[in-house]
Amino acid sequence: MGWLDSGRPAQLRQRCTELLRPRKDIETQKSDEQPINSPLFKTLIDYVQTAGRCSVLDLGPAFGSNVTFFGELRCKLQIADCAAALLELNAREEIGPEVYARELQRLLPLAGKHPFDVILTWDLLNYLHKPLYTALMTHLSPCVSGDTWLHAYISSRRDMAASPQQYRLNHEGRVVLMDASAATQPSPCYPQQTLRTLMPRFDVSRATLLQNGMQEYLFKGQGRGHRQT
Amino acid sequence: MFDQVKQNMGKWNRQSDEEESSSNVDTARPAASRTNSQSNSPAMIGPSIRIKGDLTGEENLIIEGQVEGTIHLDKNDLTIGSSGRVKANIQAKGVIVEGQVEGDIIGKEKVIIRRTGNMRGNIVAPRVTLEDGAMFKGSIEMEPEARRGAETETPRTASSKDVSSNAAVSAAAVSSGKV
Repeated sequence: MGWLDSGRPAQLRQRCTELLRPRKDIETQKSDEQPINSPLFKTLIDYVQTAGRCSVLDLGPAFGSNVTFFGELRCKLQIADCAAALLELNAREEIGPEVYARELQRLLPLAGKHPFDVILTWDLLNYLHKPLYTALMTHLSPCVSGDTWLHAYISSRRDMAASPQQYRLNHEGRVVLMDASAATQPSPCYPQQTLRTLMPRFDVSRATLLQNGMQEYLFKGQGRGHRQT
Repeated sequence: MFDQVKQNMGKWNRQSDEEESSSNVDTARPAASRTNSQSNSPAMIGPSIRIKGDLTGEENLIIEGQVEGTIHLDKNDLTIGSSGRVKANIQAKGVIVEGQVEGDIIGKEKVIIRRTGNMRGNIVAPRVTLEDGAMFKGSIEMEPEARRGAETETPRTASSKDVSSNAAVSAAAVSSGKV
């Protein structure tokens, strides 16, 4: 590999030294961020801690603290980071189910994936109109079994934040809402019956109303489980 | 005429010796004779360099250019600098991503995605750190056995099981690569 060294200018050498210098990993948690009270998420984390080696699909963006938390629990974390792309798709008009299916395959390739133990949707589902909501659930269905849990925050107020909020986990696995936006938009306020229609592969396991107006849902997948007992 | 050629060659050799002696000790020493402990500064693929193919080696490497193919630095660290663009499956002891990566990474010790990093692919490593602001899309699997397996020269009964299971995971990760 000597040829790679030849003619290396001094500034590049300095850069090498800089890059190799060990850095203290950045502490991402701010002290003023308070976790929200999210009892069903806590229940879910308790399950993950006892079940061990879970497979987790996170539809939200990547956060270092989430990676660290699930890594310590030896979970396999799939980060889809597809909220922005789904909202773009949501905004397009006159799109049929075939286009949704194709786009979802591109945004969230699940071919060959085993069923997930946990799916985290945060508050994203509130922002999808019904055809895209249904298409997303159809897309996820091959990765859903009787052992799959899906967690969601469904708005129960007339208004909700203008765009999906960013949630991350602190070191205890509690949910922290980051930089809540003041701008609002009308909320679809999906009732439980509508959710059942939109999510035919899931049953509502538990639901609880949070102080921030969100209804916290824990759905359980239907059918046979994939986890060995 | 032959004498003149010999004379010119001698002149060229002297000139090249002078050039080498004026450069630093590290580069003057033949690369093959260097050991890892001796070479503190890593090799560098500069911003204007483009490589297509399989990249292997036994020294630390920084990529600021473009690489497409596969990268194997099993005993060494790899840094994809902020201007680096890599479309490859990577296997290395430690990997730091500051630029763009499309492909799967198997880190024997750790993988760090810095805040400027943008990665699409799957990571398997005992430790993975994602800095806030980093863009990542794919799966992350932290395999504590990977390090133990890598460090164990003579496999015991228990650890050989670990290693084989890790190899299966690695193979699966690589086979799902986009490169």
